[in-house]
Amino acid sequence: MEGVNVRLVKIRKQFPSLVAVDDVSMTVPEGSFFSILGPSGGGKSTLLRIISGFERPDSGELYIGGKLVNDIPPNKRRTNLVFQHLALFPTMNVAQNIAFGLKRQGLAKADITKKISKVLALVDLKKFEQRKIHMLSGGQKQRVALARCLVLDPTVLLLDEPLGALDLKLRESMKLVLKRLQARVGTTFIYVTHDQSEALTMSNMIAVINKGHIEQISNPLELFYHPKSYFTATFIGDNNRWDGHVKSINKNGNCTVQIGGRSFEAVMGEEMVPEDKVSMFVRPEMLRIGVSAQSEEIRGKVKEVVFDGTYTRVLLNTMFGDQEMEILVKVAQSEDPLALKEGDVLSVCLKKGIGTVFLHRELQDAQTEL
Amino acid sequence: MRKLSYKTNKINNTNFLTLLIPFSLWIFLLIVLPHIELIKYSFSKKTGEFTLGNYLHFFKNTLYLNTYIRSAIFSLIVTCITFLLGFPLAFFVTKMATPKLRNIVMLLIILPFWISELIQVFAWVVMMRETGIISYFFQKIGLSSHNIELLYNDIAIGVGLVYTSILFMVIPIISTLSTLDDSLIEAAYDLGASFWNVLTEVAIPYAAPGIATGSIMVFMLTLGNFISVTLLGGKNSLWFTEQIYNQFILRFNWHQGSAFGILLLILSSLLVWGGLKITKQGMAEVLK
Repeated sequence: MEGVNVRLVKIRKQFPSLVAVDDVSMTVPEGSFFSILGPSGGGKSTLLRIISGFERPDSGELYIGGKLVNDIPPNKRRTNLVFQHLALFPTMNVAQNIAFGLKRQGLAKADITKKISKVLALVDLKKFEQRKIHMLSGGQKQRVALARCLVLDPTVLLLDEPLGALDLKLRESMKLVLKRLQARVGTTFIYVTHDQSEALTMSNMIAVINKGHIEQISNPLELFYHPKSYFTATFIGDNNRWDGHVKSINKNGNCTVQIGGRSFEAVMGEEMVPEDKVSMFVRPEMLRIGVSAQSEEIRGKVKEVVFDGTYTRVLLNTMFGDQEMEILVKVAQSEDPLALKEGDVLSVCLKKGIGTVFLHRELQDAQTEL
Repeated sequence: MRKLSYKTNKINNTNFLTLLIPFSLWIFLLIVLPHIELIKYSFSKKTGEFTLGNYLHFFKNTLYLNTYIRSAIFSLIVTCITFLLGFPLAFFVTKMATPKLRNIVMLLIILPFWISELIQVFAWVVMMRETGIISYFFQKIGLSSHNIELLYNDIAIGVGLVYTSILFMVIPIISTLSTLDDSLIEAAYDLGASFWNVLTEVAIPYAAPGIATGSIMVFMLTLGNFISVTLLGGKNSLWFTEQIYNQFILRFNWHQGSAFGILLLILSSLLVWGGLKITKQGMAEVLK
C-alpha cells in the first residue's frame, strides 16, 4: 500500500493478568505525526513496544513499509525508539552516543563524523560532540536522544512519553521543537502519551486507546469537538455532562434530548432509540456568554469564578425545569471575565445541535483512572 | 554532600573520633605495626646489623626471581579467567534470569563459600587425585586403562584458584550491573546492536568499576594464596608465598622472609596501580 507506513491488523497481546492490546487495527500514514493517547495502563506502551519489536504480538500482523515484520527483531527493524527516560549511554559522550547506531551500520569514520555534526545542527546542539551526558540539561538530553535516532534515518520514529520528566516550561517548548522537527525531516513519528495537550498540539492524527482497544482515530479538532465514544468525550478536555433521555430521533440524523424541563437537539454518538437514558456532552469552550439567534439560551447564577491563565472557568447554577444543573463555561480573557462576580445572573448560548449524546453509563465505567 | 554547620560539626567531631577508635586500633596494631616490624627485619641481619643482603639475595637467585614473576603472571591469568567466567554469570543473574531463577543461582554461587577454603580445595583433591572420581570415571567409560594423576600441575592450581576466588569477581560485578537500567540495553538493541555489542559497548564499560574491584580482590587473593596452591600444586608449585613460608617456618630466617613479604606487597601494589592506570579508572570510583 502506498503512502502507508505502519499498518496494524488485529494485533493482540495478552499478559498473564490482562489483555494489554485487544485486536487493534490501525494505519499510520507516511510522514504523519501520529499520537497514541490514553490513560496509564491502557496498553499504549505495549503497542509501541510491539511496533519497535520488544514485544511479540500473540496474534495479528504488523506491516512496516508494506513488509510483514512480526518476526524481525528490534535490531533489524528500521524503527527507532526514543525511550521514556531517554536511555542515553552514560559511559559515552554525545558524539559516541550518536555514533553508536551508525557504527552498527558499518559506516566509515569520516561519514560518521559528518553525520553527527549534521544531526546536531538539526537539533540545535552544534559543537556539543564532546559533552558528557551528565553535563547536559534535561532539554539537551532530550535532543541528543532524538538525534541519536534521527541520524539513522529510520522509517518510523517511535517516542514513548519522552517529555514526561521535563518541567512545564521546557515541555511546552519541546512540544514545538518536536512538531517543527517532524515537519522538517518528514519521518513518520508515532508518539505515545497520556497528556492530551501534547497529543492535541503536535499531532496530525490521534488514536485514543483505552483498556487495550482503540476508541477513536481522528485529527485533533475532530477528536475535540466530535468525540465518537463516551470514553473520548470524558477523557479529552473538560466537558459538561447532562443526563437525560432521548425524546425523538430527527430526520436530519440528530436527536432531541430531554433534560429536566428543557430539550436540546444534539448529535448521536452511537445508535439509540427514543426513551434511552443518555448523557449529553457540551464542551465549555462551545458555550458563549450572551444571546444569539439559532441558539438555545441558558440563564444561570454564577457560583464560582476561577482564573487559570488562558481561560477563566465560570461555574453557573441553573434550572432545567425543576432539575438543578451545574454548567461550566470557559470564558476567553478577551471577553473581560474579571467583571463577573459570584451571584451575577447571566445568559449563555448554546448553538443548536452542537452537543454529542451517548448512552448513559455508570460513573466508574466511564472514568478510567486519570 | 552537605557540609555540617560549624556548631554541629564540633559536637560531631568527638563522636566521629570515638567511632574511629576501633578502626584506628585495628589498622595500627594489625597492619601498620607488623609492617614496620617486617621492614625492620628485612633490612637487618640475624645479628641486628643493617644490611641490603636480604634483598640482594632475592635478585641474585634466579629461582626466587622466577617464582616471583611466575606468581604474578599466573595470578593475572587467573584474574582474567575469573572475569571471563564471572562476567557472563553476573550478566545472566542481573539481566536475563527471572527473579526466582536469580535467587537460586545466587544461592548456588554463594553456597560453596559457606565451607572453609581448605575443605573446598580438598573437594578438588578428591576429584582429581590418582584414585579420584575423574580418574575412576575415565576408566569406567574406557578412555583410560590406568589411574590418571590430575593433581600437582599448573592446571590443577589454576582450577583451584579460579574456583576459590570467582565469588569475589562475581559479587562486585553483580552490584554494578544491577544498577544498569534495562532500557540502556534495549536502546542498544534498538539502534542495531548485537548481543556482543551490548556486552562490550554497554554492559562492560558500565560495570568497569565493579570489574576493577573484582579484579583487584581476585588478584590479591590469588597472589597471596597458600592453601590452594600447596594442596593442588604440591611441594614444587613454585608460588612466591611458598618461598615466604619456607623462609619463616622451615629455615627460621625471618629476615629473608620479611624481605620477600615486602617484595610481594610492592609487586601487588604496583600491578593494581598499573591496572587502574591502563583502564583509566580512579581508586575512589572502584572503592565505591
